[in-house]
Amino acid sequence: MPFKQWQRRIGETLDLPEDLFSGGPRITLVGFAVIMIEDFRRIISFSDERVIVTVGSGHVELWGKGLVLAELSPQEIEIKGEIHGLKLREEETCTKG
Amino acid sequence: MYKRIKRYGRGHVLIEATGDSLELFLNEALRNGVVFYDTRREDKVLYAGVRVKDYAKTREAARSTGVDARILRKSGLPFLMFRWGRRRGLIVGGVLIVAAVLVLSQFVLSVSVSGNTTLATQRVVDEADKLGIRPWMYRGALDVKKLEKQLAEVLPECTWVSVEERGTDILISIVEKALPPQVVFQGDLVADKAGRVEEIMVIQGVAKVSEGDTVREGQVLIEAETPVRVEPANPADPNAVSPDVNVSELPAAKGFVRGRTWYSAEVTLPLQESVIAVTGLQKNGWGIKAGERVIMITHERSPYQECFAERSLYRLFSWRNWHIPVEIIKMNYQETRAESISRTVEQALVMAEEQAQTELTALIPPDTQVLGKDSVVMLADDGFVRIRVQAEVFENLAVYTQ
Repeated sequence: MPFKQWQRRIGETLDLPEDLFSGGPRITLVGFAVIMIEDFRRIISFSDERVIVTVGSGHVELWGKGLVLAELSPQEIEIKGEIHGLKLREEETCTKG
Repeated sequence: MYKRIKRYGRGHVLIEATGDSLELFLNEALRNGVVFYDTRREDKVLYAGVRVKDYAKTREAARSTGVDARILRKSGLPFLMFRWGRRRGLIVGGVLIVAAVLVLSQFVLSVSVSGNTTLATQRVVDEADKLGIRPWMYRGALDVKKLEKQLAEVLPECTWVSVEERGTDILISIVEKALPPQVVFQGDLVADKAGRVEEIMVIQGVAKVSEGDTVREGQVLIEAETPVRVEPANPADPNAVSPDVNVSELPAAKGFVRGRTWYSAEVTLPLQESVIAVTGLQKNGWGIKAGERVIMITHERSPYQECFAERSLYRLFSWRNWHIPVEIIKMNYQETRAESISRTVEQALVMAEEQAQTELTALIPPDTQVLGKDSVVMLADDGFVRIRVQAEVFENLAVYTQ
């Protein structure tokens, strides 16, 4: 059994939080004004109305008004502004918008 | 908040990046470990804050992705310190001023005296100087309580001495003793007021009156001895007194002359009188006083037609000499009414006599033997009563002319 599967099984047996063993990104939305994406890979597109970033095996797209990257570090991205919508897509090619 | 302080402490620059591949630039910079703050994009221009230490990596990323990056603004503590570092003279001056104030405030810079009326300020300052209270002494070495006691000992003219530290000034507050007037034994003893001599005793000098005599005010009672006369230098002028004789050193008259004197007081009282009486109704008006400006919140004007108004001020907060310039003001209005009082002749006479007796008591010196009192109604007519009370006392009559 691959290590990833063992990890998942042990995590599920011990009732550990999913983000500890899944290894995927974590997306936290606070109201409609702040979104934090941990473990993102790269920025595909960025403007004050639309932000697209790749995470894990997919990508996150969000749109709104007056979007600002409040903090942008290699591990985490914090976006503030008026968030109108959020879309998660997996395994899909994405072009720069 | 903590993040902002940390950012300010580390210093950051606001950059402007222009180009087509801004996302590429961001990703390249992130790969190099750069952290961006408040990144905004306006079409092909990107504004972002980066830490000072990341700026070189940002430039590198910009160069490799064909983006033009430049600094718009520098902010934070490192830049501030760099700027101030160039104004060394100003900083040194500021530090010197603070140091000078701190050092100088450790010393006494002036000594002032208050409360003295007859005692010379210089004398108090000199005595204080002898005890060690002098300008440029170290304030820490000042034992105020001990100095107060020592100063009170060396200044017997004072009943109370306080030494107070007011910043760098030492304030010596004194209260002088109220000494009884000194009797100057000089010249003749004369009558202080008109009276009848009852007792006379001459210690020195010549009695000019005898017991039973009535004397006027200012009349000589005991005459001083005449100056010792020397042989006149000029026989033609037998009355010439030698200029060597010092008159003030001549023996003064001494003795006691006691006798009866009289005091009187007169009071006139109307039978009808209008007075202003308090009705008992009162109201308080509250307001704020800032400088000379008064803003009344309740009862801007007196609620009564006629009243006594009393103003009280309350300070909100004060510390040492400083206080908030705004004060609370309270106006107390007490309603008054004009009242007419009418008295009968008997009532008026009783009141007038009481008043006259009070006035008479105030006139007679204390510890004087009162031999008798009587009162005379002088007028009880025409809406007025007038009464005169008089007292016969036994007291000392003789005083020196000066």
